[in-house]
Amino acid sequence: MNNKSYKNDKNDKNNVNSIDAGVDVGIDSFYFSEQKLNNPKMLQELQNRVISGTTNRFDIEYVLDLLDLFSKQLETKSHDYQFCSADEMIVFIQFLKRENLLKKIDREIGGLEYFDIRKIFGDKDFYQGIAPLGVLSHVTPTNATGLSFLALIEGVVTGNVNILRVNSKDGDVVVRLIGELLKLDCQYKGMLKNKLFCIDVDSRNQNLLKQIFFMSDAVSMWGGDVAVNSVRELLPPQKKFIVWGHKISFVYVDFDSFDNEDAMKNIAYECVNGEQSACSSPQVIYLNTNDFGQVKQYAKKFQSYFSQESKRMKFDRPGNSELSELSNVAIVHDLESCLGATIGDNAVLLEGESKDYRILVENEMNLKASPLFRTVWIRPLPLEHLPAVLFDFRDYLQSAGVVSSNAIQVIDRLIAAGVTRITVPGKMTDSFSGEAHDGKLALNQFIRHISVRYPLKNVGAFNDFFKTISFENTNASEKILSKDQFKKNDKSKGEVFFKSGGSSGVPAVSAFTYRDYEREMQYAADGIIAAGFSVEEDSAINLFFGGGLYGGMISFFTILEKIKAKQYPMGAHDDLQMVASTIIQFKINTLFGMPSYIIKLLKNYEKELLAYGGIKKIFFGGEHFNKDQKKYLKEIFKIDFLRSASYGSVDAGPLGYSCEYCNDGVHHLHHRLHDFKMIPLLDENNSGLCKLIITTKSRLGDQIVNYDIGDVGEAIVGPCQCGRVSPRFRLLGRTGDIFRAGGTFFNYMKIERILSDCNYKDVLQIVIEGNTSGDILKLILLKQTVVKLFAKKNKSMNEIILDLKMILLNEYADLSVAVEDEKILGLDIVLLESEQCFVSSASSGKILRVVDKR
Amino acid sequence: MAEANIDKGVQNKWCQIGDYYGLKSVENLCLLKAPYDRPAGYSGLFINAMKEVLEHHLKMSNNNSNFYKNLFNHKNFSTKDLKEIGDLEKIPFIHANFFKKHEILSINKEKVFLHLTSSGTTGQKSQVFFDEWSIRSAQKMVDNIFEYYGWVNENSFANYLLYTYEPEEGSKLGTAYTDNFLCKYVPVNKVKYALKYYGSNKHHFDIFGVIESLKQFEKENLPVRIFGFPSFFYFTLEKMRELNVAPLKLHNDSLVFLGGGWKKHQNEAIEKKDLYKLANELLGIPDERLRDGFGSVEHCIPYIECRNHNFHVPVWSHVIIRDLLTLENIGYDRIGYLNFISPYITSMPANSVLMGDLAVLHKGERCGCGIMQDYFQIVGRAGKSANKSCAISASEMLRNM
Repeated sequence: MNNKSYKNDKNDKNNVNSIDAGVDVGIDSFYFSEQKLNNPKMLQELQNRVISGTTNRFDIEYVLDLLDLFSKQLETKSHDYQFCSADEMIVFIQFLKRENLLKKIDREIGGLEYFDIRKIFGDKDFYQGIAPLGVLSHVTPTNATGLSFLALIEGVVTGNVNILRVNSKDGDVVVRLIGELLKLDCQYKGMLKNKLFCIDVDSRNQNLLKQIFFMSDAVSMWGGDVAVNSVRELLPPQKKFIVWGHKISFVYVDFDSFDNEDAMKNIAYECVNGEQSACSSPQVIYLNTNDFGQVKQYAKKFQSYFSQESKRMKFDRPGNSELSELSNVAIVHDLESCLGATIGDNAVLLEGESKDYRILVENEMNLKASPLFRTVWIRPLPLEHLPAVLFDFRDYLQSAGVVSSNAIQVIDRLIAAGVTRITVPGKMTDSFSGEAHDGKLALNQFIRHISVRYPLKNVGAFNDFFKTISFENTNASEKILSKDQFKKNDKSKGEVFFKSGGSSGVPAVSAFTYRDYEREMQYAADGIIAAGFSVEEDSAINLFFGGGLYGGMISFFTILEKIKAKQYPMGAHDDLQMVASTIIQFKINTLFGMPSYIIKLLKNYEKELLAYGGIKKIFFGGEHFNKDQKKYLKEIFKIDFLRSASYGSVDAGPLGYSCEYCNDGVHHLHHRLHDFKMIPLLDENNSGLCKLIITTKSRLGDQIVNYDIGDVGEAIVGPCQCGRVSPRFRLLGRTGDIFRAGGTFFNYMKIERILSDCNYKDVLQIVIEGNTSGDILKLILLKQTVVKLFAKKNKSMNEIILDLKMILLNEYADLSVAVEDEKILGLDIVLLESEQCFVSSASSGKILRVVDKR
Repeated sequence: MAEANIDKGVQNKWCQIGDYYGLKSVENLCLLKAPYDRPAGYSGLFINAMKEVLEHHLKMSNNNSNFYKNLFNHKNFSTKDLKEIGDLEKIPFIHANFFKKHEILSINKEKVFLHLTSSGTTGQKSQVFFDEWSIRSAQKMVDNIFEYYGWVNENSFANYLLYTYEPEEGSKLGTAYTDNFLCKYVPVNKVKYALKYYGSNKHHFDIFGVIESLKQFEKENLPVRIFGFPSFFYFTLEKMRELNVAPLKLHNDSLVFLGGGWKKHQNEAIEKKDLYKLANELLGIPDERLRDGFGSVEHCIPYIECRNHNFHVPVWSHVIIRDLLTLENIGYDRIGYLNFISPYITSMPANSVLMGDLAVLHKGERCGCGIMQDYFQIVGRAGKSANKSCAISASEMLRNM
């Protein structure tokens, strides 16, 4: 996004950093056949494009938006995707959903904010973050269709360039899906261009594969030991090799649960489900006993459940290789049951009548793989022998289904023995987003951890020094979300709620999930570092109001916590004396709070606090300091560090922050959190005033889409001296404050400020009336305050009014042009006796700031 | 144990089964001279021989372990159930893999004449024990087949290229034994071992030495006999082609008789006809002098290709093809387990062996070579699935243990 595009310039794709839109996404652009790659020129071409892909700016938000839209496309246009099976489709649709990918990202790499390089407080000048590995080659298995595509998506969301060696099983599906995805991407910003490649190279063409793997930073390999070894041999010694190998899982039944028939039913389900082809399907049932009699008894009882369960699902005769493998094992086992003095002394084979299942009972503890297809070993294994028995198999262990009344002890032993995943029978093959696979988190494997130790002043995070690339869905609703509609938003996903207004009885709330909250506070924390808070030197007291669902104190507690700042969470406490003594006693130098509270505190304990003389910085929020207050702080307290703590709202969270170069209401947008549109107010003399419209990118609690925040501002064009490229704007007031009279926009706040500067600091109401000769602007003031103001000057009421008018016309150029030059607007000042005489809101009873009577 | 005495002594001596056990029908059947002609009363002879040998094992089973008795009880089988050839399928079979794990003997240890180990490719090896009768009768069958095909000539000399392990002291490998034994049909001029013994139990494939020998053999113009593993023979021919060795023309009476694994790297099978074509091109050996043999230590009856390269079942054994799941006899033309039945072996109850091979049985007349006995075709190994799940397979686990 550049300086222009956030001004609703959505079609201006050419402005996007380093992306050329309109790329060709024909299959030739990402699919390289072996024949093609055997040509050294094409291999070089692939390498060039891979390199170009690594320099493509990566924006996770864009990718999430794109994938979410792709998920919707798969869902709504499923007839265009007949090449996928219905089951695959469901998996793809779910996997690609923004919500699910976010959860995965949160769990596997800690959250979206970890894509930023961010200061780690506690060590000086120390920054940490993650970066993509760079180029990732994927070698995927032929046993799980669709897995290749999911693996690629994992590579994409971690910002990598991905090269997939397509396999015979799902190659077609994946190539077509990638084509569709790239086509969609191309309709937007084309960020995935040169990030996804398919190579169709036979595994025997080792020389070619070697060269392609050499281009990669890592090879992510799925498959059995033989396949893994054959690829490993092709890699240079330092190449990162991520192996997702074949695994074995089992069930462990504790001695107290040999009668647990519900568990038997579930174990039977696991042995039938998917013909045990998942690595998490059990191949052995271990019983915590060394009495083979008990084992045989258990097997007998288990057989009736296995039989029932097997009847429920049709047994499809496997292929000859699989069949003979399982028969080999069963036949030999049956023969072994004849060894020994009598039949069944050490082994028993229990089979289904139609040979649809096999239970291999054996008086051996070793872990033994089953030939699958409804074949399970039942063996004794006393808990104390578990570590020794599993010791040799640790490379292969995966899930254990546990049945025990004393599960925690058993689980602890299993973990110690090398099992990575523990669950109950019946849930062994279920997985959830963000769950570790074979003890590893995929996304975490696909990134590098970066550390930077470099002195950088007022830099909490690197993110705002780079442009974001927004998805800007052209099909998205343009509808503006109003405050009233916001109240009606679905809040059901919320976990933390803050009061967002609403005066009568039930408060309206703004809903955040914890991840929304944590993430937004993180960016706000980056903001106060940019504003000049120094964790090493400053000590803060948090004087914002708290309680009553109010977000101020609590969120600043979190913000300060994020950067490990020294903080005293006081709140806007009524006991000012206690507050002042705390500041003095603990040598606090930085105040966070509302201007009115801070001024009250300083004035009440001026003597003591002046004597202390340690207050150096004030971060304010909620309102502004006026000229007098600023003067007081500067002249009496010698404080000239006054910075906005954050620009934000309860509804939309933190929106902006002031870096050290931001004065007079100027803020940088938290552009990783929000997209921002400035919609110009219709204005003949091109004032540059705009309504601020916010779309929050990854919030799950409340959906903030095209939300009219109710503020008015102007864009600040050009680079900021701090080096950050996040868009800047100057806040100029509330939307209701801006009104149009005599063809020109005027700002209530500006008039208020002018009056305030001449010491009128009481009620101001502006009434606009229209008559035949044009609009009349009436400023309604409180009579007694005005009289008091001019008491010493010995002036008549008319003279006073005339004086005020002159000041206004002198200070407010647009007003002077309309009133004096163009003479299309009348200006009047009306003094009323009491506040009751002002026009009030029917609902809240508050005095209205602007009343339009035309 | 007498396993080291495998050389000269065995070859010319003959012994009779009656010396040991008095199994007259077994002896009569196994000594039938014509490999592919069933004499009058053949079926009765075969059934009686089977009954005799099974009773022998049952009796001996009691001495050593209860295994065989238990097995018969477990399968509700009694030798009384054997009345005609069609009853052979009722005999409880033993899977060849079982012999890889367990030693089951029907003789006292002092009667073990030869102890062979199968040349297993992955891990476990069969331990098979022969008494003198069992191994000699099997060898006699080979003699008879060689005779039948006219491959015996005591009045000439031949050069031998053996694709087998050069013997070391005390070798138990079955293939080495077999191939040495095959040198008796034409007197030896020279022998070249392709798998040279390097000491410390190590053998190396001496591919260049082999090529040199072949060149030498061409010059000497004596019949060449090449026996052993097809894979190494294949690698030799491939290498010759790679090195652009000019095609040789070996003596017209040369004979290639292969046996053992047909695998090259990564479990990829060598196509038999490709190998024959290569051998024909590069060594000048005619197609009908290129033969493969099928046999194993678990079942030693020789199955030797006819001139049409089919394995006909000789009179000394029967073949049943069984369904891979139900294990029922499925007759002709369908793929299943290969079940060999023969009364020849008295040292172990390996008279009905379910092989780890997938095969199809065909009616003899379909071959067209003139032999009317049924023949079988090997179509693959049992349980050699390319693991299609993400669960670890037993063979994978084995490989790394």
